[in-house]
Amino acid sequence: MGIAIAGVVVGYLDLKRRQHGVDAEADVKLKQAQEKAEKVLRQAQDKALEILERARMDTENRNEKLEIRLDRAEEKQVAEFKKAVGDAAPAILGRKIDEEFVRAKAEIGEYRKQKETEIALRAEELVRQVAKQALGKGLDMEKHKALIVAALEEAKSAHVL
Amino acid sequence: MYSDVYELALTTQDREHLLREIDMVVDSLYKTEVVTSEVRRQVAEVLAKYKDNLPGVREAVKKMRDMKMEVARDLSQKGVEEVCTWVRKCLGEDVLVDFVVKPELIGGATVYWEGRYGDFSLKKKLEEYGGI
Repeated sequence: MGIAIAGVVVGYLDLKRRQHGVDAEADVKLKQAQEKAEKVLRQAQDKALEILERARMDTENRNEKLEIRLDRAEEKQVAEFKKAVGDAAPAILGRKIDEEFVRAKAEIGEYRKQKETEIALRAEELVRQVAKQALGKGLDMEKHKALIVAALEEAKSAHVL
Repeated sequence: MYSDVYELALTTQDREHLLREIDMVVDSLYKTEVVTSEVRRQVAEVLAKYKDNLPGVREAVKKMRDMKMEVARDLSQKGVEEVCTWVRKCLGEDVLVDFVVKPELIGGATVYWEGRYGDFSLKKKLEEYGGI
C-alpha cells in the first residue's frame, strides 16, 4: 500500500516536472513565434513602403513625360494655327479696322451734321431776334411812315394795287 | 360825286364814326333841337350840303371800298393822312384804309386789295435777303 502511494506520488511529481518542461518549451516557442511574426510584419511593411515609393516615383515620372508630350503637342498646334492664319491675319485685322473707322467716321459725320443744323437754327433765330429788336427800336415815326409808303410803291409795282 | 364826304373818312374806323354822325344829323332833322356837339363841325358843314339826300350820303359812305394794311406800329394822324392820300391817288377817292398793327413785321407793310396780297414788310425782306 505504501509502495503504491509512493509510486503514485513519484508519478505525480514526474508528471509535474514534465508538465513544467513542456510549459517552458511552449513559452520559448511562443516567444520565437512572436519574434518571427514581428519580423515578417516589419518586412511586409518595408516592402509596402518600397512599393509605394516606387509607385510614387513612377507616377511622377509619368506625369513629367505626359507634360512634356502635352507641351510638344501644344507647341505643334500653335505653330500650325499660326501657319494657317499667319498670312490672312493682318489682312483681316486691317479690313476690320477699316470697317470700324468708316463706321465711326460716318457716325461722327452724322453727329456733326446734326449739331451744325441745330447751331444754324439757333443762330438764325438769334439773328432774327436781334435784327427785329435793333430795327424795330431804330425806326422813328418818319422812317416808319416812309417804309410804309415804300411798301405801297412796291405793291403797285407788283400789281397788288 | 361825294368827294367832300369821302374826305371826312380816311380809315375804316373813321367810317364808323362818320356813319354815327350822319345818323345823328338825320335824327336831328325831325327834331327842333340843334345838331348835338357830338357831330364835328366840319362834318356838319359838309352834310348840310346834302340835307336833302342824307340817306344817299350814308349809303355812299357805307359802300366805300376797303384796303387792308398790316403795319408794325400805329401811325401818327399826320402819317395816316399821308398814307391814305397816297392810297387814294393810286386807287380812288372812295378807298378807306384798314390799319392792323403787327409788331413782328418790324417795318413796311403787307397789303390786301381786292383779293390780292403782297408782303412788303422788313421781316419778309430780312428773310429773303438775309437768309434768315
